[in-house]
Amino acid sequence: MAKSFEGVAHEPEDGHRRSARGARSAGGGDGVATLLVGPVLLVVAAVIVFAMPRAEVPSSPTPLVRTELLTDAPLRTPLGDPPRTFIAGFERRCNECHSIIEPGDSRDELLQHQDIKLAHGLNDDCYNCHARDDREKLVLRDGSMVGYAQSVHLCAQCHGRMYRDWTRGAHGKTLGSWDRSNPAFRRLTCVQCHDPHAPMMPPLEPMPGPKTLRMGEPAPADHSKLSKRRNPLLMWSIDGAEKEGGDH
Amino acid sequence: MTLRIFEGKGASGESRRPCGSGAGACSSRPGMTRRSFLRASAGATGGLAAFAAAISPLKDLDSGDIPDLDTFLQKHYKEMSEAEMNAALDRIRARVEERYKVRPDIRDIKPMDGVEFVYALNLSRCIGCRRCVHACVDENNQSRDPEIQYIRVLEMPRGTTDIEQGNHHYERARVPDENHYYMPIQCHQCANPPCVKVCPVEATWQEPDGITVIDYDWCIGCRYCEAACPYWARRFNFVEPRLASPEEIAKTPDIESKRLNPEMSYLSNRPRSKGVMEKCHFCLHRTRQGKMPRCLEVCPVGARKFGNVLDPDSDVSNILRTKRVFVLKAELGTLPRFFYYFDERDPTAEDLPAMEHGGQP
Repeated sequence: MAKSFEGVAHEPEDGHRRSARGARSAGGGDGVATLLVGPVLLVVAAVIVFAMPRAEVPSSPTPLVRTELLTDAPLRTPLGDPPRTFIAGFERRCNECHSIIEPGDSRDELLQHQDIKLAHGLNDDCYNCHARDDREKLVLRDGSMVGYAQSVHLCAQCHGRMYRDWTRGAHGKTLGSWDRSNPAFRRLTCVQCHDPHAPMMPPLEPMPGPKTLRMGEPAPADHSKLSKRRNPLLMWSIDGAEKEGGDH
Repeated sequence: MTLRIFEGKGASGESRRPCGSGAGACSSRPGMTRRSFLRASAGATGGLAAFAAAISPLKDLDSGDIPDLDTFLQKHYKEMSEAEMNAALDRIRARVEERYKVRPDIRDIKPMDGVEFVYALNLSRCIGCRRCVHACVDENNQSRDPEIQYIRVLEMPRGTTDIEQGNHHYERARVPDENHYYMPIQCHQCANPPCVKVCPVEATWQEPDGITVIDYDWCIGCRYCEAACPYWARRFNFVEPRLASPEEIAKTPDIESKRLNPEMSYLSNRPRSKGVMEKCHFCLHRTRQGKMPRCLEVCPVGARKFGNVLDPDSDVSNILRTKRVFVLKAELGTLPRFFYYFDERDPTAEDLPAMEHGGQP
């Protein structure tokens, strides 16, 4: 733009009629227009400087997070070895009672320990794991007894694959350090995550989802409903609209 | 430019000298007519107005936005001497304390010898509870308003690994959902990282222990790396990151999750500024001191595994040797250091007859 104007003004004897007339007519009409350029730009500048709305980030408030959930503490604290438990408000060793009480049948209704709900699949007999005559011990399939601290070997009898993966570090949880030689290296045992009476991990409530990408707008419960609005191709296609209901 | 147009036309070639400093200087010249004066002054006003508009964003600057001379002249991370790094750390300490009212414990933690970090994630275990997402934010001082998260947990329909079908906005009362599995994605710390290649200023690079890091003071915020990353791992600070100061938390304890973590290092979780990239760095301020990444420690199901792949006895080496492992988008040749694996299928009711004949559950 600037260059062409300059070119025209500096070559008046070019002889090209149309460009000469064009330059003259622009020169004649620009008296008022030129005077307006400055004030107009000034007004624009004033609007930009003083009246421009500040750009707001269209984000919805970040959901608050319960920090107590962000802990590295193991899910469970297993019984010690020898095990102690609270009976009627008193901490007792198992055999303090069980040395007196005759061992009952596995199918009997429990009078004590009613908080225990056995949900361990096919393993539905107390004496599969607990020693009948010494309640401070666990019993292996070959009849030998191990302490509660060795419960891993009891679990390994049936869950061999999981035990194998656990020894290799592919299953379970390792805390403290990634380096085996570091004293902080700590591998949790089976019962620090799983309740041996009901080993299935309970479902959890998920923490809030991201507000990062689609800022401001709450996520619909059904993600598949989104795609039509986001994808203009789907918006206009007839069979696309049919398909996009999606099976996921 | 504007001035020369008007001058060239008005004076019709009599005067070729540019009308430099506004109307006053021009009007005193003998060739100046009323018309050329008006044109020149209009042009000058317009030019000034355009200049004022161009610099108007400066009025939005806070005092903290303008770097002092030392910060401005700070060298690239790799070119800083120890004294220069210490001076830079002092400046960061002062800035963080001024901004967030917390005295940070910041250091420059170097990679360890003979260590290359690798992450493995057990898809058979992950339940999509998003504990890792928020523990990461708690650890790494990401902006809370708007929220920046390094980990994206995809809810995937069973039977596919096509991540285009994943949804990270799932909202359920309880997870896992029986028809889905969950696939968390974060920076894969590629051995052949596309994000590093595209950076025009070398503000991001791969460290000897395999972690791709960013010098937040060198980044120009062009976001090329964000576009280059096939794993959507990089995040951009569109505004000044916002965290809560201790006084604000004392007033409203609900916002404790917006606190600043004072344990920080230069290349990892020190507070970023507006207009720079950030991403997962395997918690290098923890892992380079032997600790586990925070996302791993918080995982309630033990799906996350981390370690030194150069140590043949480490957990991750064992996993890579013995489990069925895959990487995302392997065909891109990015060579991720983040591996997904899964366990053998869990037994179902149909397996019971076989198990009764001596099979293993």
